[in-house]
Amino acid sequence: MKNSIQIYCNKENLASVRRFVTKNLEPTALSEIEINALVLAVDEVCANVIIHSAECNDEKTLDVYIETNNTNITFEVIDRGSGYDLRKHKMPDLGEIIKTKRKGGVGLMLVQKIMDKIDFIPSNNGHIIRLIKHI
Amino acid sequence: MVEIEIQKEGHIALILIDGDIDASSSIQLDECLNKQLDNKQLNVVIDCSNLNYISSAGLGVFMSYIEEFSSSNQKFVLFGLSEKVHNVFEMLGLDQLMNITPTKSEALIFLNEE
Repeated sequence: MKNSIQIYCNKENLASVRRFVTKNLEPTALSEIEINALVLAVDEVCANVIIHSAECNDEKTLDVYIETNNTNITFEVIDRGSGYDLRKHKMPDLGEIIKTKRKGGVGLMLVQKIMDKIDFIPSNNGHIIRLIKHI
Repeated sequence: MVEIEIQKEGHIALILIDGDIDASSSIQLDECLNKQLDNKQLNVVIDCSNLNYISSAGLGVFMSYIEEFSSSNQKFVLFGLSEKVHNVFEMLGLDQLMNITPTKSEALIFLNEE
């Protein structure tokens, strides 16, 4: 099964992505906590694309694909902006973030904790961020 | 989308959060917590029983106020987190770095004991 959604790169559209991912994962055997964690990982990647890659230009779009089979759940986020290879993201130090009162920096840490595999694939008009969770 | 309401209960500001705190709505939480620093007499109790979802943007706001509240000798406590929301705090170990209790009465006991 492979389903997709396309949104304009506006932070207010993140709720639509979360609803889409939740709806597609509800029929699986995953618990509410597991579904929420996967929704969070996709939300974080999309927020990163919207803010850093598309610079909140809501004329740009991104797509999210979900594919489930017996062994994996695969998400693909199609980023048509400048791209950011999140595999190269360094895990920030939590103590340092608290000390310096920074408001950001832990989103990709969460993605790395939740997902089993993260791929960053250049494509014709941007990048594909592929997130894989073994089930 | 999130709705945030503030009620004053004696020496406590009670903040009720209803909805999702994500990259789009976290600014509302930021503004609300920032306001509480104006009244240094008040400790803050945050009711998360209707907090349906939180992303790193919301966690980042809470984290950024740990030092701010500590410097102004104020405390904030969260209570009523659902299992799925608590799990997000746990993933980063924030449940150990922040004051989180199961119920409002335990939050109030925590503030009285400190």
